[in-house]
Amino acid sequence: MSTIETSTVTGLDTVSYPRAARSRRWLLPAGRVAVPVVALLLWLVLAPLTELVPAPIPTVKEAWDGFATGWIYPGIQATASAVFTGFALGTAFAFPAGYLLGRSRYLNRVFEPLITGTFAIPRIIVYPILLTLFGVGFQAETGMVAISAFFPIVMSTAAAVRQASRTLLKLGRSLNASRAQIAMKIVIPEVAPGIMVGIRIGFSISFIAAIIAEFFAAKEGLGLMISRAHAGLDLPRMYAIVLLVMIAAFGGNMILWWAERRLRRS
Amino acid sequence: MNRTSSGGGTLLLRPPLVRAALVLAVVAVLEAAARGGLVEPLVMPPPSVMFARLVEIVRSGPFVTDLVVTGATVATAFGLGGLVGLMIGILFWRFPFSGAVFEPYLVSMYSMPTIVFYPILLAVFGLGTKPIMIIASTMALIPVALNTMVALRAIPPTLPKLARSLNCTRLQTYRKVLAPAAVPMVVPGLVLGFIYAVIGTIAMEFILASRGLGYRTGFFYRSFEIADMYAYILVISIVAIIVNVGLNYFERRIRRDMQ
Repeated sequence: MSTIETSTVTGLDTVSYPRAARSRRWLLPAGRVAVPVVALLLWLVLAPLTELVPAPIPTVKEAWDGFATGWIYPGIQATASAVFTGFALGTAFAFPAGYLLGRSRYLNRVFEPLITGTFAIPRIIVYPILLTLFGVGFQAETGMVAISAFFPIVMSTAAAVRQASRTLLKLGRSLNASRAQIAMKIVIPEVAPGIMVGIRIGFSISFIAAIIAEFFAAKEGLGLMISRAHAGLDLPRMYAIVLLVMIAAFGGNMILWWAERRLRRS
Repeated sequence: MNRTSSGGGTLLLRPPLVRAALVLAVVAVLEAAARGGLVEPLVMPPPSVMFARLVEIVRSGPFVTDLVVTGATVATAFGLGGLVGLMIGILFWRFPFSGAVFEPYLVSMYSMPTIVFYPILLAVFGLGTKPIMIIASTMALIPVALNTMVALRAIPPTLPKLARSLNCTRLQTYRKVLAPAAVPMVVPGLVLGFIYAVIGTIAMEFILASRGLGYRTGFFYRSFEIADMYAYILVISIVAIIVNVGLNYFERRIRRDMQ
């Protein structure tokens, strides 16, 4: 599958740092923690220089107020429900499709160029089609999320399933295992970490797609709230939501990444 | 894997033929649905009408302007993102500790909706190509930086040693030894970076620009010119597919040349 599998590198698990690891174990985590702290300090120092950026304290206070007074909940609820529903929908289609493409060389040869060929198409441009189909609202946004999640999950699942060990498959066949048994007992457990990579990427893309869709047209959601705060020049609120979105994206990614590593180890 | 044996047995079941037949079948079904009144013309015009509009649009002046604007934005975004990405990659390899510290943040930038910064950039730079360029280049930068770093780390230590024993200057070591050794992995990063620049640019144009292919799609949606909207979606898809295929070809050639 050309570009994507061969070149998406995270490299996180592969590299070790012998020197830092052995003599000064605490240095690396300390350095990693220092990054957001330094960023926060820079923000604190640089904010007064421009009117376009509110200081961190009013921003954090506004975010806090969002939860205390509740103005943020409708946005979180709308975005989260679109992301989770769309992601579940996209995965429900992508996972079986990816499994079949990974198992059958023929199907793969038929469909793979269709999937990789469309890799460079920005998915968001089909959003107007969904809007004309469903009207502005939850359905169109969910559809957009589902489409965005579909492609990375299909590709990673197919690539992962293709890596399933020949010996185990032969063993399964020699034991007269059914197709479903081969899938559930052999292939899926074996390639679970690879599938998880697709889930993680798919989830991130779902989140991004939902926010972009809300910027363009939505009735509710965090993306819409950012545009509204921007239009109303309510900068602390705008930055508060931006901050929350970034934290949510970072946190979600870290949780899925952690799950991925757990699977890899077991 | 029993099914694989049946693949490509008869001429009619060859994958490219089946693929083309499937695509044509989908177009035919859509055409029939639109012509037969199953789908309202306001929701989706028949594909034949879309293609007719597409041909007219491609010949028109505004299209060329939009294409040039989008193309120039993509090119600048990729140039900037690629350059900064290469520098970051080299820096993270040269100073492994900083690489280890920043790497998780760089990786998680993949999952960041960097577009949430658009109102800020809009306020700073105004409604032009600059905010789009900046966001698209941050998207392009990530795969370039990560691939460069991994490519340089993967170079066997014997190569720099050899360069030293041959008394190469630092510049020579970089140019003659490290760069060629890293190219097979750096190029896929650049290809991915270019694709991200395309995606980022068009997606940003779609939500905030006043010109460009992405903007035009949204514009026609808002003015209810559905046939034109579909035509623009088709144009963008075709351009993106051509770019993708071209880059894949380029990547394969480079990799072959390096071996």
